[in-house]
Amino acid sequence: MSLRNSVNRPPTPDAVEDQEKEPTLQEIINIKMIESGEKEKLMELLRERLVECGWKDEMKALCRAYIKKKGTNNVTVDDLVHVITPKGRASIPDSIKTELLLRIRAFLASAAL
Amino acid sequence: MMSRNSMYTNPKPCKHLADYKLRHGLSGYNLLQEQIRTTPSGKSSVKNHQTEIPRCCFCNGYQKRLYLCLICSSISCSSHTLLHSQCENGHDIAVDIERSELYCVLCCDQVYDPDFDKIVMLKHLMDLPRSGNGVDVSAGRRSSKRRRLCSALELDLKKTKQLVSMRDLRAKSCYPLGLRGLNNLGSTCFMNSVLQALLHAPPFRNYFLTGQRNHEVCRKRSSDRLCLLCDIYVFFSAVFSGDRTPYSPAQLLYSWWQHSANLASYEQQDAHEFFISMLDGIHENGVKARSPIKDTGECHCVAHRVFSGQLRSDVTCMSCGYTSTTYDPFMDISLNLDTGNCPSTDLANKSLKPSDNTYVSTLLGCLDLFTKPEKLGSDQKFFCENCQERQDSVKQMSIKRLPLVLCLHIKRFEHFPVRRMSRKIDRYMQFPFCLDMNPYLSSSVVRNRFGNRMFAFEGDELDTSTEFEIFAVVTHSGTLDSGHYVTYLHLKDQWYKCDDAWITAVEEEVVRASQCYMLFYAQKMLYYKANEDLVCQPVSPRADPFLPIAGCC
Repeated sequence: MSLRNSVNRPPTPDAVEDQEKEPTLQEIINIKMIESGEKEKLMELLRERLVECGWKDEMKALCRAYIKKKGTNNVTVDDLVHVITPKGRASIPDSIKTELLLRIRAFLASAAL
Repeated sequence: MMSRNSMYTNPKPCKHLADYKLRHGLSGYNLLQEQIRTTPSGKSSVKNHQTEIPRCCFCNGYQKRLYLCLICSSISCSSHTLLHSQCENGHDIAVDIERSELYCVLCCDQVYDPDFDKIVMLKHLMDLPRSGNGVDVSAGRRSSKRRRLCSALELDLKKTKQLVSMRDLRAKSCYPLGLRGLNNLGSTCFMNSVLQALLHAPPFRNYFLTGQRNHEVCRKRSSDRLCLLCDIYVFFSAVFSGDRTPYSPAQLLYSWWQHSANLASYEQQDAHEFFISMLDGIHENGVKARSPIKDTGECHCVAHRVFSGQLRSDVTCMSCGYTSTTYDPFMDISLNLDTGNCPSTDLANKSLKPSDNTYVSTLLGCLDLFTKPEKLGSDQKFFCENCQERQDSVKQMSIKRLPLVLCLHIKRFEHFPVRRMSRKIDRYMQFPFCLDMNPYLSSSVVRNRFGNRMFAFEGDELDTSTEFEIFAVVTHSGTLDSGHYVTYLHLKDQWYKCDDAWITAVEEEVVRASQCYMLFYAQKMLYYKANEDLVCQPVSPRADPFLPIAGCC
């Protein structure tokens, strides 16, 4: 009986799983940015810039075109997200990327990471 | 929840949302309410602890859209919501954490529930400093909308029909009544152009033609003084008499000069300035002549009844979200041309919008610009009541109440007092013949601040019509110093060019291609009613309906 129990025992966790629990650098930075409130500020800044340069309007237009093509009742939010995300990411102006990168770098420097 | 304009009727809930509501009612929403935080800019999110990063309970990911289950509060990312629903029966409805929006896992789509949005908005309002938050939950106050409608109907008429049939039938023309050339009395095209527009503003026209202006008993006239309103009445009668020979509005010009002495000269004036001063003159004359009727703060002179609306201005503190709202009346709206210019520097790299050369300005673009939130410069810091100090702030304009006739003025003349120079902006602007003002109303603009919410905002007017039809366009050609104004009138589906004494029928394309300076739109029902009343009679082929007098202009 006890033998069967040991056979039925769940497998020990892999070493791989352990590694996944170690936070990556990216995660550490993210956590620090959220804790300090910097992430929220950067998100607001990003939103503002994307509206200013017309990116948001462009995305809206793309969404509308897509919905028109497929028909209002045949589109879900998930569809839109899947379709628009790659286009959105690709069309972010370099100036905005640069600005945000500089801000993040400055933050890293100040947080002594 | 009020139902209103079709743009905002509530979408039907999906089966799963309906099931959820049946079983759980509002309990899930209410529990969530505590955790909702709204930023000063209007974005609502679900925040359990300020700094804890929400993660998907399946993959620990935090970078995709995250959804909070309304029943068990477990968080899944967009890839794993379905998995959660499969594990737990009936856990189909979730909330997008970042946006506070409902999501149906089985439909894979956003869903809407006014009860949910109400709860989100109430939390937001409770959190905001005091009640000066720009959003008032009070059930629609008893608006003067009814009174305005009645007033519009008063001006609208049965009488005009009778009058029209009794009119002088000398004319024998197939042109509508009320089309008559106006002689130029010396650079007075600025006046002629605006007068043509006023002649055909439906409620304005009706007021003067139906004798609501009782010219016989005008006290001023009897004491031999000038009365602007009487002169306008005489002018209307002359134009609508059926006589097609060009008319010289000399008396009216003289009368107006008395009122606006500073503009009295033979120099070319600005048509818009003339328009404003004319309305001002009517107001002053009207106010003196009649006793104030039930003081509601609204003026009942014909100028106000026809042209006045109300603007709303919101200034929001960027630190705490406190919003200060003010209301101001307007007789017309002056719009800056939208040029498609973005403040962002790097457009040459990624051209999101076509460059200046190909971007076409449109009226809707100008209206968008007018109602766009504008960051106030650091030299204009607003004193926030809540923070008790000067803060960076955002200002946004919107239209609280639309007039019966909407006059839109395009700012083409730029004056630089410091440099002592002025210039004219010739840029072409496209404008529609039918205009729906809904997106520019305060109810729409304020609603948009808070994302996709099904929520009744203060000032949502149930029976307001927002659809307008164009009836007159005042155009300007030439330079600032030596230019010429021409008006195009839209009567009974035909466009007429009114160039001082010369009136000709023209094609729609001509009007569309013109350089508009002032646009006159009337509320749709008033416009169509007015057009019904215009009588046309068959023309005698030989006679030239409009005889210009040589030597003018």
